[in-house]
Amino acid sequence: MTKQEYMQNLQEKLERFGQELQEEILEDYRQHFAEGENEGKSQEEIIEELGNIEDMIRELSEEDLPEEFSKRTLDPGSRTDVREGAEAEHSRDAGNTEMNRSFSYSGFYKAIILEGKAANVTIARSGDDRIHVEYEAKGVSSQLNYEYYQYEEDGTFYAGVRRKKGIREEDDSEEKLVKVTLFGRTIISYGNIGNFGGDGQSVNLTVKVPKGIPRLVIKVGSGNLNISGVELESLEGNSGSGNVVLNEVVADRLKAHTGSGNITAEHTEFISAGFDTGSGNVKAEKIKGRELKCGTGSGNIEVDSAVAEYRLATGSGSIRARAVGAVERVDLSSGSGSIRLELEGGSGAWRLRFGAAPEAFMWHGKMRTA
Amino acid sequence: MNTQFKKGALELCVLSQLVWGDKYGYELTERISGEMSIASGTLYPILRKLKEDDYVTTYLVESESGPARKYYKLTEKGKEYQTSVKQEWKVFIGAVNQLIGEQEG
Repeated sequence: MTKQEYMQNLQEKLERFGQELQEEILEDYRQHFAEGENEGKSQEEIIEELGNIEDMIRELSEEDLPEEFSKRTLDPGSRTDVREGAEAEHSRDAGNTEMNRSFSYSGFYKAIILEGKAANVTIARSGDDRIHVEYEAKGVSSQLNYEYYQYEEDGTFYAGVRRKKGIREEDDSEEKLVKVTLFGRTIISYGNIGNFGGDGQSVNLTVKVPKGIPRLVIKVGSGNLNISGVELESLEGNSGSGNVVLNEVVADRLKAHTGSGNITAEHTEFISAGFDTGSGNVKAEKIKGRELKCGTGSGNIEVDSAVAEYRLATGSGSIRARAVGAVERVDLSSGSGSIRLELEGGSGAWRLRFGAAPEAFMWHGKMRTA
Repeated sequence: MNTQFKKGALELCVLSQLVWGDKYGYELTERISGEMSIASGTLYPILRKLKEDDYVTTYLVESESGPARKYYKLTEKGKEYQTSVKQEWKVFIGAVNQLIGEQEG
């Protein structure tokens, strides 16, 4: 790569951050080249030294992200509806705000990555080939610290809720980490978000996902995550302390994780699925797939499904599993809870029950149910 | 490495370099990339952020080598910030060293 190509590349990648930032960083790099050349370095050496442009862009602060960036990709037909204060019919008293916005986006994306922070996130199937987003915020206007954002990069669609400019991180305790250890694995999850939720505030983000998007990743802090009706190759849903609900989801690879909430899955199909919670319960009903892993630190696991391989583990909760169809492998582990297992397939039915084992208990079985 | 952690460490390195006098961008990045393997480019956004937060100010000085050099100068606020972050860093590193079994020198 020549200096010219590198600078060209830099310029293009900085375009979306606004002119002021672009100019400044370009100037810094130009200066860097000039100084390096003056010292007798080759262009390649200087390029190597400056490093990957993407790495640099990742260091740009949140404030540098373009505020009106989403406008570019916004559908001209999208509607923006902001209602404030006394005009809003739903407001209980002065100063209360209710804001509703909806957007729609077209284009093919290889992935959708959503970050909900304190918002509740709902994922549903799109009726057409566009991504539809509805953002709703309610609460005292001076305390609404979050705003909607959207951008795209390298074919990936990013959207979610972020702190408004000028709201400093110290103002809420969102980043306070709650550490959960589960069977020697440490799961670090987000803690509660300080001044959110307690004052009748709520933020809801609904994203309708069209068919044909291979990958969807959603991360929320204290909000709940509700996913239904979507088909993907890979789906990952994470909540710090909220619940995760899956209904009529089809995904080759499916992962749901929450720090302290519950995970519920119904009418869901997959090749491999992993449901993990620190202290909540896992409940899976009428699900179908090849491999299912469920883990909880202190919650219960309840499974009623047609899966070939099971790995279910709880620290102190109980496990209740009912398996329909051919089962190839079952690993169960409970620290101090009870285990109840029913296997029903073909000609025979298995019923195994284990009560309050004093220590971690593991059972491996290989059985034929034909 | 956790990016926030790394960012914080680099920020402290940059600020600390400026305690001993104003430096221009290239001089700073050379100094830091001489000690650790990082892409020099990643320091420019950090410098920009420090300026936005009023921890440093900048001024231009004509240079024979080409475009004018942008010098960074620590503000009073930046000095105070550097002192407190440095303190936090030392406490943190002390604790880490304890935990990983290294004796503090």
